[in-house]
Amino acid sequence: MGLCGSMAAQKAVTLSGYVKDGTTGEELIGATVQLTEASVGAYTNAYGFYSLSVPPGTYKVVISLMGYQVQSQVVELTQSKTLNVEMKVEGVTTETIEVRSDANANVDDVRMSSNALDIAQVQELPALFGEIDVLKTVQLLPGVQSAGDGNAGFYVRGGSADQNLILLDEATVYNASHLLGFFSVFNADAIKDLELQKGGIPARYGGRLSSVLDIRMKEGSNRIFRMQGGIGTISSRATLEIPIVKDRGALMVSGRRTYADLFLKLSPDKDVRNNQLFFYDLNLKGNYKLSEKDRLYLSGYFGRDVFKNQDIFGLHWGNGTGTLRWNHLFSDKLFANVTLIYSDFRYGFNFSQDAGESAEFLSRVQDTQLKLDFSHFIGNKSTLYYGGSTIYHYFTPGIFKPVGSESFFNELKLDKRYALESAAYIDHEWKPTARWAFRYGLRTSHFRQLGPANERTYQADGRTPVDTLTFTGGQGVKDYLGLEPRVGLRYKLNEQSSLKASYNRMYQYMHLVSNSSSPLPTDLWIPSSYNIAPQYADQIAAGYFRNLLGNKWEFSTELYYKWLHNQIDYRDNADIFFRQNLETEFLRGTGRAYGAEFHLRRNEGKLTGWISYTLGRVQRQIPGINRNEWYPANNDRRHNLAVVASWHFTERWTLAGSFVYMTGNAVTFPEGKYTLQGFTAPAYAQIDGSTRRNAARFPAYHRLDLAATHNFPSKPDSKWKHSLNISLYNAYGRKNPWSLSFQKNEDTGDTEIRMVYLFRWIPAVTWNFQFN
Amino acid sequence: MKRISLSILSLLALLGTTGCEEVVTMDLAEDKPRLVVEGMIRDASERTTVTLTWTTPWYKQGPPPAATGATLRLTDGETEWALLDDENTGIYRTPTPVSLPAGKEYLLTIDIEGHRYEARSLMKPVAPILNLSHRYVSEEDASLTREQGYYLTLYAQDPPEEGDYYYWKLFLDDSLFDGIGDVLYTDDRFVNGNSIVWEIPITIPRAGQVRLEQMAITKGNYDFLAAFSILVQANGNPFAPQPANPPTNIRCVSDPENYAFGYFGAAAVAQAEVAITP
Repeated sequence: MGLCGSMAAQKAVTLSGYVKDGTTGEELIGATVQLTEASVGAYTNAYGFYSLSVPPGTYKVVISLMGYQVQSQVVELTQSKTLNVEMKVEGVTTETIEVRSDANANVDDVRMSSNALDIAQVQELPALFGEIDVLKTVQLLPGVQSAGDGNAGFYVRGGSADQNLILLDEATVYNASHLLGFFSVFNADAIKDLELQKGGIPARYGGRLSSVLDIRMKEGSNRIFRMQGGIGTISSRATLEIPIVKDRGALMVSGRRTYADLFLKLSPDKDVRNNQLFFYDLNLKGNYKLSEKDRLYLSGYFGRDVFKNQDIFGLHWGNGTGTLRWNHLFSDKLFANVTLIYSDFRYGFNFSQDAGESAEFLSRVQDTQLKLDFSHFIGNKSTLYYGGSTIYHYFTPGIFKPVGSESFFNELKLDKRYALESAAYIDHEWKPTARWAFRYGLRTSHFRQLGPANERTYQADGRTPVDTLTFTGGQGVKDYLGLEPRVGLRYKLNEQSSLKASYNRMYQYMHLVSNSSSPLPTDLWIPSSYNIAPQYADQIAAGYFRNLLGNKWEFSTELYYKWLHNQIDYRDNADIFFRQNLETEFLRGTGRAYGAEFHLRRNEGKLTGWISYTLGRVQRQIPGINRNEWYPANNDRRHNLAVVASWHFTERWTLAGSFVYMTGNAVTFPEGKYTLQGFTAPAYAQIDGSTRRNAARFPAYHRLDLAATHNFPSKPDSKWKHSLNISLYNAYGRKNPWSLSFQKNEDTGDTEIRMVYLFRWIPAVTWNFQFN
Repeated sequence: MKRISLSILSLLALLGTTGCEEVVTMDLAEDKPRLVVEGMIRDASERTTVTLTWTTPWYKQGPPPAATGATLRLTDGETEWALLDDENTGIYRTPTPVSLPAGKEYLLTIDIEGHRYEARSLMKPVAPILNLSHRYVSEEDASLTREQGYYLTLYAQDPPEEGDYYYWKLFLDDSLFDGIGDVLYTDDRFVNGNSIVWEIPITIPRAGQVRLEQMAITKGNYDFLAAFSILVQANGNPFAPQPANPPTNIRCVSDPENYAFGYFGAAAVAQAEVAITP
């Protein structure tokens, strides 16, 4: 790898340091640090650190970040120097919530296909039941689609729901949904920063095909005690930021619990009264500055969903993650990060009809990961990123056991699965001239299934077993190697516009087994294994990026084409519950997704927001389905439009709205009916011995949501602030079908199509408070 | 186990303060008429019956058209029985009751409108019903899954080898409980080799003579029943499996592009009765 950029930097000196919020001491991500005389600039990284190398001299340093006052100072650089900067919040409306600026990144950054969300704006937008949900705002970005009405699941550029790498402080969140997917596990109050990568994914990331959603929790103020929270229609939440040692350490604790089930207690119906239905989240983060060069972070998330129907049936699921991270500055040019991560997802249910019919089920995924990441700021033209990671996967696919001595069930266990997923990467960002920037790298991933394991071999049909191979504990069962090149380039046409292109190959060794059209918490994660090869994808993208009117407006358009390999689909009537040899229910093939995205955004002024439009297509070709011809994937949606706007029309009032329109899902509708034993069933067309799939369409989906936020007046020196948010979901009451079912009307005997729609004119009120 | 997946589906019903339902009309593609076969041959002494109808477009109302004029033959490899549609109703029967021996594989051949269809089914022996008991659930004791009424408990012993599939029919005074929720079937995956004491989740609304038929069916027939009952009850539900035709054992041998619906099943039957008095 040629590092020709380093030649010029030989005699250079380095200016490096941290950029923080002056009030809270929290480090700021994505701030621009520019040396105007040298036309050199850098962004602070995820830990607020920057490093710039220039020839010795006197420079004016300008530090800017949207939502903060621009800072500038003159520094005399005769030798390398540390400059830590504290930023002051600008204006009233932005308050203390961090605002992330992309003003120059849109044109400048070599990365494309990436969107950052402004948490402050997310909190102003209307939300279902008033529950602010970052994943639902992510769905409004170009190239991203919702998994269904009110659903927090999302699809990126034609990828399926399991192809998104969702990271919370670098820990994988296997299942980001609460309450059957209507809410996500991310409590916006606890989130500092969020970024979605849809393509041109840096080599640092791997393990999922379609996107990376990188979410970072707030660190907490190390200067002043802060408290914020809210009381909403279905949940309440509170966040505390506690300085432990001034300027050195802070603790952040955030919790949320829904209380919809408390209202169930008021019901006159005993059957309703005795139900439990709630979820809760707990976020915790602590950080401590050991020295100027060492920082320690400990963060955790714990959440559970509980549903209990008297004592007859119970269902529970949830994630737990923990991250311990150590930042170390080896020098002003070499930033290192060592991370130890634990991630745990489990779900289970139990039922107890009577003493005989009582049993419980449990399934669990546990990951332990060690990660090393280095950022090497070689010169102002060259940055090298390298590192590696290894994950130990421990899967308990299913334990089914009787409850009580009278139960007539047997205890059954599916074989546990063990695997080691490792990767090493190197990634070079190189800006040889002001116009050109390149980022190229390679990620090498390796997956090893470990014993003990019993694996079958099959005949060509993939179903008829031939033999069973037995492997002992620790023995390597199967190895898969993935070479994942990542390339990106930017050519700046002028200060306001640039062209970018990228290519990436991604490998995915984890698969979500789900035969329903909507993601369910009970969907099962399984690792690649002897019979299940990893998925991989290639994506190319090219785009035009332009800033308008002094960077107030940003525009971008991108074209993408994605090839997906080793995609899993299911045989007709696949039975995936508690199967030792799930592979017999699978069919494997390829997929392709292509499209064009348009994004226009305004970040400054009284009116902010964006318009995104995606024209796209998603298809699959699976031997055994539709005579091996390409057919539309369920999430194939031709048009997808989102318009999002916030209008700060006075200091007190903000109005916000969002509108979405998308083509309906590709679905399978019957082409006739038949009657057996008096029951009428839909008859689907058959092709080559199996049901013809996805030839019909759901009606288009569209919806307008509105919200108004009133900031109550407070004295200028008051530490106490509060506001009221009123929102209306589906403001014009569109009946968006959640399901269309083909049923016989028991009264008339006629067959009909029944549409269920869920949410129309859902109002919500949330009161938010803040104490500084 | 089927009831568990349905319980997950019913979660939403609890949430659904705002969920509404209405009837909509949509344009649907129309397939040509396909043969529909309904038949379950048993070792009981009865007139063996197979009913043939045709599929119709979804919006064509009324009973399904009978498929008449077919020639049906049933054989166990040694004996052959003809099934005749004397009344031109699409209901084909043996002229007299026959007792088909268990333990054999039966082949049904149907010739209709120039096509030949074939189906095979093994008649497996069945485990006996050891005992039946019943209890009354009063209005105060009623719950979400046990409404007020009588409930029957089945005592049986599952054979030691895994791979038994059961199908039950419950009658009150010779009248079958025929709602979709009354279709009872299970495999022995979670109960293999055990002695079973199972309260049947059908509410018997009044006292009377109750009869339970227990049938041993094949895996194919079980898979069909499971898929068919999910399809009828939960088609279109986003949490239900992707829509698919239940796996039939009926093949059109004269044209591999042609296909049929329904199932040709075979089962040995065990039965027991109990008199419920108020």
